[in-house]
Amino acid sequence: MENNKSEIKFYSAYAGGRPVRLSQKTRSFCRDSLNGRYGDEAMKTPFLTLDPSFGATGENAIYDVYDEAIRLICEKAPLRLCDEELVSGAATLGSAISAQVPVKLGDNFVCPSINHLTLNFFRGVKCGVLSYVPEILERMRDPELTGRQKRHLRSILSVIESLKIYHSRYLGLVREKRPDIYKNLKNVPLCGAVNFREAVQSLWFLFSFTRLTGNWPGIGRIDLILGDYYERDLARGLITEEEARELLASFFIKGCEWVRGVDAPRGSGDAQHYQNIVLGGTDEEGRDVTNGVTYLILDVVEELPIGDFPITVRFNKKSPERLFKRVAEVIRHGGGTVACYNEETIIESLTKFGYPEREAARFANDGCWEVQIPGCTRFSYLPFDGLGVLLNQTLKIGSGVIPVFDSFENVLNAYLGDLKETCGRLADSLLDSCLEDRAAKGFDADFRPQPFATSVIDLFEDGCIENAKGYLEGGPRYSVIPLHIGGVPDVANSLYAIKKLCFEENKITLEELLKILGNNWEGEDVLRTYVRSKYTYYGNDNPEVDSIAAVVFDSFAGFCTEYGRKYKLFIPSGVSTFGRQLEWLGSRTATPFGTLKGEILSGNASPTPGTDREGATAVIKSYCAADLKKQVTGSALDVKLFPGTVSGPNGTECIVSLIKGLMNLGGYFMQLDVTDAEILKEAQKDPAKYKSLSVRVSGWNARFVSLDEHWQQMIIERNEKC
Amino acid sequence: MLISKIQRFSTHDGPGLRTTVFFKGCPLKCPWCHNPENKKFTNEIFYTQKSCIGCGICEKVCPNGCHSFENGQHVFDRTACTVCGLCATSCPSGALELCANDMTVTGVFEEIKKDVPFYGGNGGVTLSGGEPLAFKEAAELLDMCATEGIDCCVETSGAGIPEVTEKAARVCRTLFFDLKDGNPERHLENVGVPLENIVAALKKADRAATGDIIIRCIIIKGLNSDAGSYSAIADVYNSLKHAKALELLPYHAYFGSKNVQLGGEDNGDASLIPDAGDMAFASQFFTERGVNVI
Repeated sequence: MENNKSEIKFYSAYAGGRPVRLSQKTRSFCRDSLNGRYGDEAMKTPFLTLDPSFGATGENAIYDVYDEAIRLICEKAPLRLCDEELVSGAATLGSAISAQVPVKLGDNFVCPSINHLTLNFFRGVKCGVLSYVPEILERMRDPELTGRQKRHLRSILSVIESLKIYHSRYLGLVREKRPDIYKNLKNVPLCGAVNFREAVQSLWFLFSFTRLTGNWPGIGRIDLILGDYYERDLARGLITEEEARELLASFFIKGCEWVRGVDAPRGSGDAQHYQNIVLGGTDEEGRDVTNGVTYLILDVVEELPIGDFPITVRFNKKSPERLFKRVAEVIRHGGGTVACYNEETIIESLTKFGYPEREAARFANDGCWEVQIPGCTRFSYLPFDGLGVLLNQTLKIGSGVIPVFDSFENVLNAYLGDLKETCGRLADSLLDSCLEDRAAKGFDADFRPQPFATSVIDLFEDGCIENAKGYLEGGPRYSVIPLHIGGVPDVANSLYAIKKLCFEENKITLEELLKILGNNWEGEDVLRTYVRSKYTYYGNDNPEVDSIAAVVFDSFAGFCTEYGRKYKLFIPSGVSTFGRQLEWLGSRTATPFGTLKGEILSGNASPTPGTDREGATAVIKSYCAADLKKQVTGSALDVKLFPGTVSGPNGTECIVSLIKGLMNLGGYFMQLDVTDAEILKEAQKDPAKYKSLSVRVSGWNARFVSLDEHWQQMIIERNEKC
Repeated sequence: MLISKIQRFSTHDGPGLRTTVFFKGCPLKCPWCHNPENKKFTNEIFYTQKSCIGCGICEKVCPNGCHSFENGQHVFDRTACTVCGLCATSCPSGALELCANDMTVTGVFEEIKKDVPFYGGNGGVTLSGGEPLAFKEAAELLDMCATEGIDCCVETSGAGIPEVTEKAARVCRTLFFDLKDGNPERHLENVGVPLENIVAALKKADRAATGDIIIRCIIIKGLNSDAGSYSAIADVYNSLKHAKALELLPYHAYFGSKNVQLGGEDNGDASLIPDAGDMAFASQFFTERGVNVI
């Protein structure tokens, strides 16, 4: 590998740097794209505007507006053709980057974006989009259909017509300039792809078309879609491994076309557009699908630091050793691009929930990691703060009322009661907002009609044509909105501290503790230091606290089961916060385990920052103490590793050991992120958050925060240098 | 036995993912010891000044008046300290800690077993220290691990109990064996035992070994970095049947911080750190003599 010959360097947390396999042209294309060139370019044309004279009235007006908007986009959106690209198509309207269908009528956008779903691009690539036309026409003959349903189907046909317009504009653009692309694009995506080059072009064109029209879909199992094409062409000598890698790299780089430059406004860091990709895993027949495309994609993200597409790899007992090794080699570069699913837990979870086995085997996700059956599932989720329930409802901190509990069991049971009440209230309001007349009709209650159309999505969501209904109106085969609990590790830590302090060591009564928390630990530094440094919290493989977390997780799942599949809208359980632990700060008080109001606490099912001291294996064991099969849409664990810990060939093997350990213990999802000297600097500024951080120089080891500035600086420099 | 640390998810103490057990106590007296908290066989108090919140609890609980506060600054006078540990258990911030826990073999084994789901084909346990083989319990621990199919490695300075060292050689997949200086006079002066004793232990271990031996050499600039020393070490290496490689470890001065925490001086000496040229010289010297340098 010619690392030294490339003038373009991409950052890596791994001392050995990233390998170089791709051409200079492709690498410079990647650099420009990641620097925000195309994202900034898209902002020059944020949206198109419908003719003000356009008026639509009547019951089907939403479809008239929608069809006109999609047609306008396809006729007028700027086309982009980059010299370096090997696949064409581009989402060039800037407002789509902020989740809008980029068309305005007057001052308003015509309709909102759809996201958190993975579409069925499989059929579009294999059979071509035109294959839907006879099916829609046949469906429209059904005399039972309402006028709205017929209009809805006609709207899907209109999407196909608009796509044809857009496609012919692109063909016109590339015919002379890029005959190579013209050849690949000529027949797809209207017809099925017949070779690998066409398949990659078709998939990109369909994906970028859905993004151009303002949606944020995921792609799902890309190696399953493209693998057969590649293996066949490779065997026939129609393509080489290098050519295929360049093509897929182009696909990934094009996927960065929404990355904005440095001058773009900064937000919550939520830069991802849910364009997830899933690799590996078994198919409906139980065969492992890992193939040449799987490895080529890992090559691409090993070389290019592309974090969006986020990749999750489905691991199972049949996964090849090579797959584990390659994933570990990518992970060590940092950035957390590749995460891991434990297929066994997930498939069992989905089948227990009631999905047929063949459906469960197909699982992908919604763009983050929440599991869904791709291409046939309407999905969103309702998050809530499990810690807020404890602090505000159960313990009533800061309310002026001091509740009385005479045992730890009573505290725990009161919390579980409040949690149950919260889940019931949220599920009821969710069902009533989505379903019409639920009380009277029960399972037969139908989805409420929506005031806007979603026909681009409906084309790629199985069930929408068959049911002649839109994505949000019960069209897809499954409609799923799980409740997602957050803050459970903080809840477990809080309850554990109460148990130790007030009911075992009797250092203080619960009433006194609650008063102290109401005052944000003011004047109680010694006690606060004690609970922070002397107790062993979630994330350290301490069964005493992990069992509390498990009871909370499992009980929450149980409360959701009471809804489950009782209505046409499924309500499973899941665990997530993403960045929501920031939003929840305002409603959270100080906690019994020593955090102050305003401190950022646990994310997803991961330990509260600064409380895990025993290393990655202990974190994984705490996480796996709950029955994760009960969290149907998933429960995510984020594990941070330091580059020095996983350097060298043994480092790769240790990453593999963590993944296999997760599988042995029944884990669900894990993201391993390798962080670098920057983290050490942060630890220097904010030692409380990095108490567990050990630094290691051959045989010597010490806790970083226990070193003075002089020593810390040395270690930082050492890490920066390697 | 005193165990200063059981470090899970160790990635640099042998193959695969391992749990490393640090025994407290070593018969040698090397002034450059990288883990000085594991030199004494008795427990010690580890004091991290920057963690002290000045609460004064240690002053109240100490029966010997070792802790006092001057101008709000904690002063720890160790002369009368009996290491009763009362200050450490009462210290709310962890500024005062006992270096080690007194553990049973079973207690240590339970900790090792916690990460069995992660060890896989290559990982396991590594006994380190201090000098783990100076503890007869280490033999028992190695047997328990072997019975459960947990892979074992040992990091030894060669100054362990002969029977335990032999047991380790028989049981371990890899024995990491230190040779600290090839010059007999300097070795005796700095390490405190004759070099020939260490070499004899190594040869005995080599005869008993079923796995590999990796020789580890610390390179201390100007102190043990001469060709004469290297030559003697290369001869020993080449006389062994199971020597798989020789690992060169550059001296570093970081250990001084831990000496301060133990109440001593920061005796790390940056002038002893070998530069790239010194390391290259050592590497070339050994390689030319048929040694597999890693």
